[in-house]
Amino acid sequence: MTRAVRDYLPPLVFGALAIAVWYLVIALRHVPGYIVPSPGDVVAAAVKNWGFLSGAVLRTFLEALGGFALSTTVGVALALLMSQSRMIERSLYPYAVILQTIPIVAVAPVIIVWLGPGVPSIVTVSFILALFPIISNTTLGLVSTDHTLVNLMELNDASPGQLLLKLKIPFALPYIMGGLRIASGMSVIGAIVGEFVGGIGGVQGGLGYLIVATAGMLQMAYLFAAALASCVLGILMFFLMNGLSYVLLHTWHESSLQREN
Amino acid sequence: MSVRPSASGTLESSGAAPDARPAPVRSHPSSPAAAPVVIGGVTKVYSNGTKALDGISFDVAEREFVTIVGPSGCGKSTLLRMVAGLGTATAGTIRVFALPPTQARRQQGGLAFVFQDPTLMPWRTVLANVTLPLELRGVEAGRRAEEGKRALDLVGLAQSASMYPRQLSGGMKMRVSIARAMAVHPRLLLMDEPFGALDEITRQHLDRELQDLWIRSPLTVLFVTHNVFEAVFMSTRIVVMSAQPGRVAGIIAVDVPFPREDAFRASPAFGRLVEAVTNLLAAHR
Repeated sequence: MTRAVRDYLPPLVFGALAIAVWYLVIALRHVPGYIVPSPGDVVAAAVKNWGFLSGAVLRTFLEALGGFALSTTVGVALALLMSQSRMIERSLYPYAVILQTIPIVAVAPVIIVWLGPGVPSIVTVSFILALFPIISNTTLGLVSTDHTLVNLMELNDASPGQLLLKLKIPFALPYIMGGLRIASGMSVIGAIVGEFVGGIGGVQGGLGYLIVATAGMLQMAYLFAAALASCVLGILMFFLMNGLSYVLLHTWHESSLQREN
Repeated sequence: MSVRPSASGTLESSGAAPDARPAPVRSHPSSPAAAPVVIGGVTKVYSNGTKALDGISFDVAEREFVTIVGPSGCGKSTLLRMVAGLGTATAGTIRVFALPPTQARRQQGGLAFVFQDPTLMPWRTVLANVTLPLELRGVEAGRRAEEGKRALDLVGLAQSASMYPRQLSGGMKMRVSIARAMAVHPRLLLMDEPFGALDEITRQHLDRELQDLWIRSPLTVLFVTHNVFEAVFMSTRIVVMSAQPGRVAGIIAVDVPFPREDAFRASPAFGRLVEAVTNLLAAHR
């Protein structure tokens, strides 16, 4: 069995079985198309509305990317700040945790009221949702530095800047990548929730708006196609992060190494 | 190789608490004549109240290879770290080339430290790991690479310069660690059980290599181990420590010429020295 067959065959078989069961249930129970569309209906709806759907996907992708970039910048900066002093960490960390526990559906309307409907609000919601995993993982990475390596830097009288750039940040990189991977998915969800609450009509609404609109009109096949597109977007973000991880870590970190055994 | 001069007596001193000595005052603080290490009445009490070291005093002369042997928990690593300026003594003085350790390690040709673990940065190549101390001192890239290759040559790893630490065996990693220490041209090398985690065969091999390196370089070595055989094989003198609190139980001179071949391990003299160290350790248990 070749590697490709071994890797891809099992999930493909499982997917095919799931679709078959989907068809079977609709056929046997005579479920109407406006309750559960068949897989064929979903594909047909996607093809028919391709222009609209692809525009929405691109828009949501860019908004999620914006939120993700913002949360990466702010999250890493805050974690670096907290790693510099216990006092700063004690002051800030509880609020980062609280930020994480506030339900985003409660915050999103407030943000829409403050910033008005449109891109800034949506990017902000995406940013808030993606921020915490980056802060917590980066902080964990920065405080986990191998103690003897810190001793080594101290013996060579490294400056605080050298300690950070040459030891702490490279050491934390695998942890940061773990945070980015979670945050990338969260940023897509954040963008969709933002559009859900404060999107604008038409092609400018993105996937969140499309989901609200099609649900309201009971266009179930189109709704399923939009939901599926959201999944594809999340997967795309995940693979982008895997690629970035590989570029940054493949020379040395266990998570990105190819092993013979 | 010539026979090294060494102290005449086999047992220089014994007794649980040697007298505390103040560090000698010298008119020229960094003159070449200054002893590499002078330890005078060093006591260390941890913040939890445990007394780790009690009145430790001994000197290490230029070009010596002094080994500290003792049971685990006798504070030998703590002592060695303080000689490097990692942590300070509660009482007593430590002078490295007549300077406080933190000043001595900033000097050109000061001290270098080898940890028990290789402590390599996995994201750096072998060469980049070796040249790290030079990078931190602001040495320019060209000279860094030159010095790094020279240091790797010393440990026979010149051809592994572009490899990553994960691609090396435990013994090779330790050699890289020694090369990194040698990159700064130290006059004093402090080694904290550097081969403790290696298998016996690799350890004996690296012991031989380290001895050759010491013979060839203008180096003074202060070496910590819990392995009596290693101590006898390597040292000009052995400082035997007792535990709880750590004290100098005695200092044993090893009057055997260098280079020492593997045959030395099988000689009656080797057996007698091992016995002397072991008895001293047992007497102070």
